[in-house]
Amino acid sequence: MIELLHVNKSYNGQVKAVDDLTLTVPPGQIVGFLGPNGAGKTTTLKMLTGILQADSGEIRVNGIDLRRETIRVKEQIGFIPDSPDMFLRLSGLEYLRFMADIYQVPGPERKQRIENHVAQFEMGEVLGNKIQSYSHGMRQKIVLIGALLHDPAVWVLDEPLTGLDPRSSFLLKEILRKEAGQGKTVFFSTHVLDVAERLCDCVAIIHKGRLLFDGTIAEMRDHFKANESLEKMFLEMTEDE
Amino acid sequence: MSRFLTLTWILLKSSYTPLASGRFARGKSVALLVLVCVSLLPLIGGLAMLVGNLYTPLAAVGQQGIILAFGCALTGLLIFIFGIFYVINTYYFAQDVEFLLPLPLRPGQILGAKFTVTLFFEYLTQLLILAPLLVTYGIKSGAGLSWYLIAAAVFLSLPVIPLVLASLLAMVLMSYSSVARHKDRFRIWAGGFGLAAALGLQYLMQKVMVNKKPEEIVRMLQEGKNSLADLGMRLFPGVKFAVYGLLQSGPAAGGLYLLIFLLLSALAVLMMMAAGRALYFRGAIGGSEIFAPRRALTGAELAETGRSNRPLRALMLKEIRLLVRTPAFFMNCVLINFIWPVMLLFMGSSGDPKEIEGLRTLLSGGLPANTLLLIMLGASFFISGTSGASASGISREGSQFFVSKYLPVPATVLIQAKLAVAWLLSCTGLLLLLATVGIAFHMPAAILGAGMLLALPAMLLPVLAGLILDIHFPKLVWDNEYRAVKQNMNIMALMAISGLLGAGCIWLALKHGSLGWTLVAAVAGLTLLADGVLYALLQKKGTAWLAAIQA
Repeated sequence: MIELLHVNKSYNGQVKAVDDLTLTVPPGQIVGFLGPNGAGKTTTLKMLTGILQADSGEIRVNGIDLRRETIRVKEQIGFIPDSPDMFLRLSGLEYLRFMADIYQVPGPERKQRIENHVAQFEMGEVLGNKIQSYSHGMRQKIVLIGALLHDPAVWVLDEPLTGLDPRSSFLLKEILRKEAGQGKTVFFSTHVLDVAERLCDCVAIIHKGRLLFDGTIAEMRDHFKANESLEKMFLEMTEDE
Repeated sequence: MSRFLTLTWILLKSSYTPLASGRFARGKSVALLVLVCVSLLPLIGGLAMLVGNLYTPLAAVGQQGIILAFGCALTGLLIFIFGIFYVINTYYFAQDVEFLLPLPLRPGQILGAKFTVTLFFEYLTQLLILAPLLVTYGIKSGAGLSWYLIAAAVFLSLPVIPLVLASLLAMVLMSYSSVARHKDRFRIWAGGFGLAAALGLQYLMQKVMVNKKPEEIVRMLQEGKNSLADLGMRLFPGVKFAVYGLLQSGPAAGGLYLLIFLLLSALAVLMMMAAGRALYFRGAIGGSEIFAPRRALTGAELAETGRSNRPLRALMLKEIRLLVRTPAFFMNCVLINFIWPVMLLFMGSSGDPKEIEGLRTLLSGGLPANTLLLIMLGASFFISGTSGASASGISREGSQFFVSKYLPVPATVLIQAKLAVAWLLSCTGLLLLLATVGIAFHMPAAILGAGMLLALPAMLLPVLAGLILDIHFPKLVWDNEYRAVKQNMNIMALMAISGLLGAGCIWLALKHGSLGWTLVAAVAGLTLLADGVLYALLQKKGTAWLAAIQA
């Protein structure tokens, strides 16, 4: 479970990126985090994963306070950043072994998981190549496999479907559904409303750092009292006053 | 604004890292800038003194113009040699090329903007070499305002022709070879060549200048033994007009020669633009391709996947792999540690044999052991400070620094990994150097062993200081890995600090050697204490310092 309680973040003390955000992502659910560009989605995910520090408020993951037990929280999370351009001069295998070492995945399990996921995402043929030579989608896949290795209890994904081919995109959605089905927490940001509509149990909509809506899509429809598409509801909600 | 000017402005702006915001942070950045400038003073001062010493005897025989000819030709030659690699990196391998190619820009506009940016950075190089030479010459000759104006115009136009030639050569090379597909390999070779060229130049200069009085150098220059200047003049025939312009007594005649030089430079640029229209896109398109035949894993490699490492070891392995495989990092953080033995051999072979023999006598027992150990300590400070491994430890991560923040590893372990790798590299380099000294100068093994033991904490001090500097002033915004190390003020500041430490140690050894072992013990003790304090500081404050870096 992810809990964000009255979280605030501003840049240079001037631009308020996240404004008093309170949100709970329960276990066993897939929650989509929606908002226009610059709404504060990535800032929120970065605070949740320890990349940025919140100015105030509390962040808890599975009941553990991020500020007090940072490393324990990070161990719970599997994070897919929006840019997969990392460690480009390592080979795919070196990257996976690095991630397994950092998350301290035991030897026999890591071997089996690497073999399974590499086969699932059809990366076997290029695992010996440097990541530098991979396409965007292949880089996305290697980062995804790296995040899968420690079997995280909480998934945090920033625009995870960007650049993935249809097969891998389908596979990732299946994995997320399976993980949520096993009681794990899945929280991801996306611009693709269709995906959110079909994949998510709940959505949270953020605009100019403030949470506008948090609930199921059915609740959102009730809120608008019409059978509108998510896209239309989203546009109405985030329209500037 | 024309597309060319807009693009030039954007490229220049993106090459510049602004001072940090906030009063305190800005103050720290200014302090670092001042430190870097101060560290360059000895180089500039040394050159100015050399010119000053040569001027009087040359002026006595009316040959002072040789200084200008030599200075201008040598500057041109250096800009040309290093320009070839710089041009290839900027025109073809910079990350912005991929963004510029789809824009509706003509090759001439991209080429022109990139040429201007490269020229701008050449001015910075010239500030260290040509500016002190021109200013000293002007002062010594009692030149008036018009001379300085001509000198300023020469300063601004001198790099144009060498850079045009370097650009032409680079464009031909990139259009008709497979260099672009083997980018990393090319960069490593280019770096190696650059280093060899620099060492070769130093060798030649030393052969020419070593142990010679100004009068002898004057005689040699007059006899035409200034082959480097001759080569420069032959390669860049236009340069002689710039020199003539500076040598004329009247502003009219000087101005005329300058005008000819400016016209020649403009003509060169036009030629380059014409060639660029045909060649630039040919080499630039596909520059981002990487040569990588698909490689599945072997059975042994697959079996290896089950072997695990502790996080510290995993971080160190990652650090070493990236250092060795990234050409810019390899040159500035790895190879630099191993050039000292080579330089020593170069110096040994180009120096005065009598002096070398004298040095051998001193090192093999002529100097007291305590003095030798202090000199070795001083050398350790200096050598460790010249490696950029720790002072760019955070900067090298660039835009990927955020990854270190979400990994479940304490900041203290990240810091330990960076320190360990930088220290290991410095120590390996020193070990090789000591082995070379031991063999070449017959230094007693006991002193070598004791020196190595003392050197370990001495090598650690600049490593610790470098990382602290880089944590406070990380250069994370760069579009080219070279910028993370080449244009990183932390590395220069560390060189200045460790140079001062090293010089201080050697001064103590030579001036107060009579204090004997007490002095060695005091310096070694202080070094250990400083190591302990800095390490404790990093362990205690490192987490907060790293957290404060906005990723």
